[in-house]
Order: sequence, then structure tokens, then C-alpha cells
Amino acid sequence: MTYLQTDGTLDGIFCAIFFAFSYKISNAQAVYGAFQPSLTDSVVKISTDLAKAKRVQTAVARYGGSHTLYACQTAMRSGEEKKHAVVFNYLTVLLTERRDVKNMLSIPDVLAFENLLKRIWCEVHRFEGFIRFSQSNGGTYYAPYSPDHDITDLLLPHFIRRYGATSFAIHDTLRKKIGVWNGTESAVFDCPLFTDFFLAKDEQALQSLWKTYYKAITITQRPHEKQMLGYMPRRYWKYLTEKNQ
Amino acid sequence: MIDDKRFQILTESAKFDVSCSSSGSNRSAQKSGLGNCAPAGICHSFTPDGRCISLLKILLSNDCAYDCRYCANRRSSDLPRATATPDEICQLVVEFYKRNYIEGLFLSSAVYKNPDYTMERLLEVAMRLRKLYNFHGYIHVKGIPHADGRLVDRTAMYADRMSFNVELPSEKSLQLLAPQKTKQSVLTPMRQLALQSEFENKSPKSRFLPAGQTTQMIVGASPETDGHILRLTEGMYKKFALKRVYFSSFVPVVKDVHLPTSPTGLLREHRLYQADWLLRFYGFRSDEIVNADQNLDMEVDPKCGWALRHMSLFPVEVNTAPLDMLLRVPGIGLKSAAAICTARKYHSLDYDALRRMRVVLKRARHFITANGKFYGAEYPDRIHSALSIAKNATPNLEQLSLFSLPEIAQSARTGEV
Repeated sequence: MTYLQTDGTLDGIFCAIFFAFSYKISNAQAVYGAFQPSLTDSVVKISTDLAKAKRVQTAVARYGGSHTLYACQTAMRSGEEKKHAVVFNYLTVLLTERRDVKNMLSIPDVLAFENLLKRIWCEVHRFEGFIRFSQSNGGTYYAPYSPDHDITDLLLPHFIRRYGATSFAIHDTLRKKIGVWNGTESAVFDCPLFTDFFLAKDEQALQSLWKTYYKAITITQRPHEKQMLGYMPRRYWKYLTEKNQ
Repeated sequence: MIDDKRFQILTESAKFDVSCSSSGSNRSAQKSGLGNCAPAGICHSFTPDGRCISLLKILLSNDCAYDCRYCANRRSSDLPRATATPDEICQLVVEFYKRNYIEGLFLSSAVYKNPDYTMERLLEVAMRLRKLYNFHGYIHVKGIPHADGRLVDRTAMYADRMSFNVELPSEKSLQLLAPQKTKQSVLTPMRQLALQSEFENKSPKSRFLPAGQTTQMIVGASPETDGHILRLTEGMYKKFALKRVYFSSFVPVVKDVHLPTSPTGLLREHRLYQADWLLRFYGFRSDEIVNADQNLDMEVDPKCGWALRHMSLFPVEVNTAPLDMLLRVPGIGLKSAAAICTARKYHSLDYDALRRMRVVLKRARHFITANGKFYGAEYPDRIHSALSIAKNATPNLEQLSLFSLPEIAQSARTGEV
């Protein structure tokens, strides 16, 4: 096993691919951050050369189509530590087969990549539901949330379509990233957590109405907490109005 | 804004309308308006009973003129009554929607004064939301039986989905438990809306009831068999092009001589929903699943039950079987079947590949071969017990202790049983 230490970006993985294919290394694994090699493993530090990365990118686009390139970029949004290995293995399969491998689900590396993507898009869909806005006294609707993956710019278009004239902001508190819409244009930039945030006049009353609704709509004669947790895991409860008394 | 007390009364009374989905409509946002509809529907929260919240489910009024025996809001019931104004409902919807609490509104009502008056009020809410508040989110309106057909038609122009509850699976039970509602008062508007939808949807830009119709019936309050219920469900899907039939497991909120005293278990409702899925997505007919005078097997799901009755068709080879046969294998669902069909074009699938694709091999292995290899049970008669839901094998045992309840502690001390 040869461990290829990348810099954590997609270009770094492309460079690792370039290295593995140039030196015809059969058993290579791309890593970023901490990992434990054994005595017989060799470790290579891959420096990111944008020219080499571009060559690999062209090859990926040629064999897999632009959708494969977009899929790789989306996969890098994942919050999982093993994502670099998954993307690297997928690209290895793609460039060995030299054709679109998206549907070859019997190959484990391909299935692992598709599952990684599925987890990211599933989380986008979940947060379209779980994001809770509260109106500030300035009139903007603000929603803090903490996703497992970096999905702020994937979520923004949905809310822009929905709330065209209203200005709102969704704040990824883990990555300190905020997506803002002011009614005409959107932007995503780094932003630390707000220390002072004042709610609008009616906000408290509306939040308490929502909590009342949540309690009222539950059929207490048929409890099924396991199903609720399956659809709405506890890690999403932090910013849900109805789950915070 | 509506006060907390009335809001609580009206939403608590609405909870037994189990329909919760916000899917089926592709309403796009307008520049001057608020909101859009997501075709797949979005679940915003989940209650401790496991169901999803995607709409604001509320009654316009719980002050009912009818006296249906199973309903908590029946006329002869003694409970706080409340009525909301259409404007209060609209305000709630818009404010909740802006905060992303809901996808839209699920509006129902008790029969306040008379059916026409109530239906007019429901129509008013829908019209206000669309025209005055410029709301383009999801609206689901419950139809009132015996209301004028023109009011129903008008409401369908503003709502995304409408439903009329058939309440009970047979006319006889309906006459017994809900004497003021008749079979025709529910089926006629459903038929009318189905015909109107068919006519309107011939033009591509039509906005007449985009998410179609649904209905609901109570299971367990009356003696009809599951076979009867499924036959009725299949008939309604065919005749009225319904999107969905909901089954609500009977919960005794009201005591009545004609009603059971204990709640119907959730398992029966679950089996009916499984059978309903087979009808809609897996190409089954109701007579294949269960006979008209029989109940569904509680121990195995309907798909397993069918497969066990037709073992001559199995095992199927996953690499060559047609899609409709793959769908009939227990443990292979729509997504797994599609994945198998896509993947097998490139490489033949073995058992490990199926496991990675999350086919439920615990069930499927008895009915499939992968590349000719069979990993199922040796004796076919063992399969039924292998696939049944586990019964409580061990009785409720308790280790005797001096610190248990007094009677049990006495038994531990003296050795008497």
C-alpha cells in the first residue's frame, strides 16, 4: 500500500492520480490529515501542481463527461474524513475503464462514491425542511444550522426561489460560513457566529405558537420515537424551534 | 394573530386527519408572491408518534353540526369549541411559511352551521391566500360532504390537493357510525373532481388541482375485512385517479356502544399500507394480495405472503429476470430493482454485489439465484417461519428479590409460589 498525502483539495487528488498513473502504482490510497501507515507501507507527499491537475481534469471530463467532474466537486463538500480515498478510488476506476463508470454499481469503489454523493444530496433535501428562520428586528430572516457536509451554496438556490423578495441568511455555524440573499443578489462568505442577535417584536409569540402546534399535532396514543429519530436524528435538533424548550 | 388557546383547540382537533404529504404540485414562485411548491414534498419536522409535519394542519372550526360516533368533535361531545376567521388562518400560514416551518396549509373543518356555509369559508381561505396574500405554497383542502358542487369546483381552482374522507369501508358501517354522511355525499364530489381534472389537464398549462385527490378511511372501527378494504382502495384508484388512500388505525377517543373499546394495533394499518404500496408501485392486483373475505396475514408482509403462495415462480436469476419479476421478489424494492437492472448491464452480479446494493438478503435469498448460486433455505416450509415477525418467545420473567414488590418479596422469603 502506498499512501499519497494530498493537500485536501480536488486538485491535490488529481495530482495524486497523476502520480499513481505515471509510476503505475497499483495499490495506492489518497489521504489527508492523520493516518496510520504500517511498516511495509510507503508514504509519498504529493505537491499540488495545477498544470498536472488540469491534465487529469481534462481526462476525467473526456471519459466521464462534465457530470462526473461536477460529481467530484460535490463529493469534496462531504464532511467525512475518508472522502479523499473515495474520490481517488473512483477516479482510478474511471481512468482505468476509460468510459463513464457511473452505472457500474457492482464495482465497490463506484458504489461507495455514489453513496457519498447520495449522503450529501440527502442532507440538502433534509435541510430544506429543517432550516428554521427567525426574523431579526431589522427585518431579515436568519437561520443558523450545522450540517455534516458543506452544503450552504447548494441550499441557497432553493430558498432564493422560494422567498424571492425577502432578504434572508443561512449560517453554517460549524464551518462559519454564511449564505446571504438581499432580494436581488446572493453571496456566500466566511462569517463568525453572531454574539448579538435581536428578535423581531412578534417573533417570540410565533415561535411559541409553533411549539404549541408541535405538541398539539402529536397523537400520544401511538408513540413511535424510533421512527421519528430515524427521519430526524438528534444532531439536527440543535436549531429546531420545537425541540428546544 | 390568533390566540394560543383557540389555536391549540383547532390543531388538536385536526390531528386525526393523517394525510400529511406536500408532494405532487409543481407550482413555481412568482416575482410578486411568496413561495413555491416542491414536487417531491418536504418534511419539516417529525412528531414523537413518527409522522412527518409538512403542512399547518388546522380546522377552521371544531363546532360541528354532525354527530359521527367516532369523532371527538361530534355535536353531542362536551369539549371546548373554537372557530377561526379566514384571515387568522391566512396570517398563520404566511408567518409560518416565511420561517420555513411548513410547506403550506392543510385546511379542514367541522360542519359549522351547514355544509355550504363551511365550504364557502374554506373557499374563502384558499382564495385569500392565493389572491390577497399572493401565496404560492401548498394548499390541501378537505372537502365537506353535501356541499354544493360549484363551491367544490371553485375551491379546486385554488387548492393543490383536495380530499373527501370516505371514513368507513362500507355503506352499512357509514350509516351506523356517521349517519349524516352518506356514501354519495363523498363519492359524488370525488367523481366530479376526477372528471373535471381529466378535462382541464388536457391543456398543459392547467392549474386545476395539480396534486390530485386523496381520501382516508378508519381501519378497525367496523368489521370489514382487509380484503374488502383493498378492493375498495383499488377501485377508487382506478375510478377517481386518486393519488393516495390513507388508513387511520382506530383510536377510541370517544366511548360509544357501536365502537370497539381498545385501539386497533398499528400492525394492521402497517400491513394495509404495505399492500397499498404493492397496488400502486409493484403492479399487483388486490385479488393477488388477499381474497375479498379475508384479512391480511399479520405475521408476514403481503409481498412475502404472495411469494410463498407462488413458489413455483421462484427462484429468479437476478442477472436475467425481467424488471416486473424482480419487483415481485421480497427484499427487492423499486430502488434495488432499478440498481440491479443498471448494474447488470456491465457486469454480472454476485451475492456480495447484491448485499452492497442494500438488497434485503434476509428475505430475498430464498427467492433468487445470483449467477446460478442459491443461498436460500433448504426446506421451503421453513421459509414462512424464518420470515415471520418474531413472537415473544420468552415469557415475562423476573428474578425474585427481597426488594421486589411486597407480594413477590414474600414469595422470595417463604419460598411459596
